[in-house]
Amino acid sequence: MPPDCHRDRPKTTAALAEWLVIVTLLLLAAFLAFSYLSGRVALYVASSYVWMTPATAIVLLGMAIACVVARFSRPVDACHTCGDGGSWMRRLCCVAILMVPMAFALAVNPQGPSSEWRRRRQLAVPPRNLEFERAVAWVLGEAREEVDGGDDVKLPAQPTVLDILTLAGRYDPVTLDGKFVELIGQCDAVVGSQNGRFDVYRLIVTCCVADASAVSVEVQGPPDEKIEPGSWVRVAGRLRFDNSYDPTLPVLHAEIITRIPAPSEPYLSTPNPQ
Amino acid sequence: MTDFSFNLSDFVWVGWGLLYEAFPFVVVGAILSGLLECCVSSETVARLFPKNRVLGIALSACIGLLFPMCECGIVPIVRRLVLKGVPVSCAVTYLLASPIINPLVILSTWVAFRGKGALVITGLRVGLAYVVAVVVGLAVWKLLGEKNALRAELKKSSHNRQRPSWGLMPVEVFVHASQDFLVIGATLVVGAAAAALINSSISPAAMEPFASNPFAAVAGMSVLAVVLNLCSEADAFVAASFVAFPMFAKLAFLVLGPMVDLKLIAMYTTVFRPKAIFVITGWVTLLIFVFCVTGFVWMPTVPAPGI
Repeated sequence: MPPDCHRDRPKTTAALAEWLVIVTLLLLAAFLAFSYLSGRVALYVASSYVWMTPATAIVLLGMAIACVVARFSRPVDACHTCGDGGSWMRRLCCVAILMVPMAFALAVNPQGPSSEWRRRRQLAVPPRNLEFERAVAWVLGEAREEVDGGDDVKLPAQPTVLDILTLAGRYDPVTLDGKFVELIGQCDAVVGSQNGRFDVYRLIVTCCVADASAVSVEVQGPPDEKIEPGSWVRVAGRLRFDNSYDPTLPVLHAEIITRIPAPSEPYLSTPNPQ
Repeated sequence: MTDFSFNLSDFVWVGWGLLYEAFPFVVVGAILSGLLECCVSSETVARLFPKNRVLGIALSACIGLLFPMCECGIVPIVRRLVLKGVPVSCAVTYLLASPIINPLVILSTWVAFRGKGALVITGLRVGLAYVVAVVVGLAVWKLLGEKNALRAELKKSSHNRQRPSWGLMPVEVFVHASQDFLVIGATLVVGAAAAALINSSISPAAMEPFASNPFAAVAGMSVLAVVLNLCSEADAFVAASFVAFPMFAKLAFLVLGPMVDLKLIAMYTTVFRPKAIFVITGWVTLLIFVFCVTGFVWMPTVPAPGI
């Protein structure tokens, strides 16, 4: 041991702790690589962050290799216990803690949020007073096109749930009523509703699912339509504004409902739908 | 819909969301920490750092403009800086300010509030973060005492290591990085678990009844900032979606979150003693609360739509 080393630990215990650290780093790297290759990372973070997981796995692998190299290249009388990781007991605790989330992930393996969670994260759409808006526009002398977009509001080529809600919040419902749209999203039952009404929703994620918000459009499907909460669908139909709670919110009267596999990028990344 | 309910699947889902997002930044921070250990000597740090402590604290709050780092990755770097001899007060200031006063977060804040007073709230966020970080840094220097803040093992340095040869430099950098990652990664897991427990169980809308009262609004948004554990780049978009809350309540959310949240408190235990963590987080919370409530009371309808 170096003369100024103040720790005095058995070499075997310290060596065991070192090997456990190396194994933990390797397991964590393998888990992250598996998460990326199996596509599960895309369920948890925004698409722009997915690439970070395999990069992290590579770096962790590099750390493990470096520890092995250092282990065998260190002089015989070198200190094996001094390090910024602390005592061997502390390192063992850290190893155990790092293993726990991997075990949880493999045991529980969630594919998405529950309906309850989704409803708690639903973005509130500010209510509109259409008559007041029209009166203000009349007083200000604004042209009709500035208020309700004129006769021909152009929808995006592949509108998302967010696009539909944004347009419905911007223009007079009369302008959008009857427009044919095709939406992709996940299904969820509407609480207290029957006769084929369900929500098609998308999650807006900026970094990871911890900051996710949900936006949804109500769909009127066939009365006997069976929906599986969380499943992905493509719904094609016409927009109507016959929501009994808020007539300014659109309802998509479905003509065709198709079940589809989950897209490779399940989340919308556009922030701030207000 | 209940305001609070626990679901194991949601807990694991949110928890791993936080970990998948945070692990890369902790790894980057650990690598930078390893580079600091192997390439920068204590003498170099002492030479580069201003001798005037007040100037050092004031400048430390601005380092994030040159070297941006999120709140997860900054902890291993600060840990290493302290070991290299950077004054604790300056390290605390850098730790608190850097996750907010950096180009990425400034830009994301501006984008999130575009059309709703972006310039005002971005300026207030940066300004308040600077003031809070500098004041807390000064308080650590003069009131708490720098010797009382650090963990015991960070106060006594390990036995002298020779700088490794260039050939072995990458190995040593990664070995040091692995040691930092082990400790800080474990505390991140603990913090993320606490964060996921609350984030997955509560409804943010539960705070909305308090929006009209200045004390309750600021306190409610502060609590949300601590328990939701959002990254400083994403929190602006979440704050913007709380339309019921006034601007100063959102400001509390934006400034407090990157400085103090459950995940960070767990990671701070690798650098500071528990009493110091309690004192630092208390001062940060108090300063932000007082400023935001005062702002709410004096200027309840701060404008600037369209900027």
